[in-house]
Amino acid sequence: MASHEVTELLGAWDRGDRPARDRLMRLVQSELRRLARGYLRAERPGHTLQTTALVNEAYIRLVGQNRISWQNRGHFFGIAAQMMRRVLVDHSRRKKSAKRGASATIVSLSQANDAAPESEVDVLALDEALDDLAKLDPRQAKVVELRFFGGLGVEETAASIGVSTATVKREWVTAKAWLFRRLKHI
Amino acid sequence: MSPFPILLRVTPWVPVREVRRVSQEQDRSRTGRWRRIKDLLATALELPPSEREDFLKKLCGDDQEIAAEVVAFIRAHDEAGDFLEGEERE
Repeated sequence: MASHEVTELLGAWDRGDRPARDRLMRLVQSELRRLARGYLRAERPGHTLQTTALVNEAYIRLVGQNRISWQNRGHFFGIAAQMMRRVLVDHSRRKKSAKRGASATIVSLSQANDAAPESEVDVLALDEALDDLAKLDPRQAKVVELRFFGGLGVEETAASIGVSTATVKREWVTAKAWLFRRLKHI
Repeated sequence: MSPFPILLRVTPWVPVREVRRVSQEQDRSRTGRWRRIKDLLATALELPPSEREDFLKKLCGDDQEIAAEVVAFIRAHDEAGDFLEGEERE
């Protein structure tokens, strides 16, 4: 897959071309699936999957050294976050149905070698909780998707959805409290 | 013949629509409630821990239920540690 194609698709989407966006989503998803397969094959109990690393790798493979605008970069990571979430959820579902009673996939943004147990999350439970948060507050759920599944920083997240960094910080800190309470049943 | 039987035939639809309207209103009020809690929570978290209680007492006033919710979320925030946190892309 030539990286200039992705750059062109991002530009086309920016000009309002919807099919370009659909094509981009398919490209990003298949790339993430391909990359994730490699990581997940080596999966062992307690293994943590680095979503940030995967998304970064997809970016390098699909966009490469091409110069793209800050806005298009935001678009790319927005799609990548959404697709990363889907890849992980599909994987967790398959694993759960293949091995009844097996523990769900654990992902962490932390580096695998020093991953703290506190940062580990059950993907299926998080996905479900995020859907509920989206019903309550769609923008806030989007912030979590971008930051957690896409590994976006505060500024990138702000640029991607067109709000201030202060807003992203407030949405993020309160979403974490909401999700923590929901997932830990406290 | 009076139009009455026709009216009677359509009445079963009314409660259905009514139920849908009520559930939409509940959704809106749940959303509004979360927005309010979220604003209070975000502001409280920006304050030093010792000032949070006073802030909530002052702002929630008669709405103790909202205040209790915000306190529960503050506790969740304090316990969450690095939940969902990790390295960021540069």
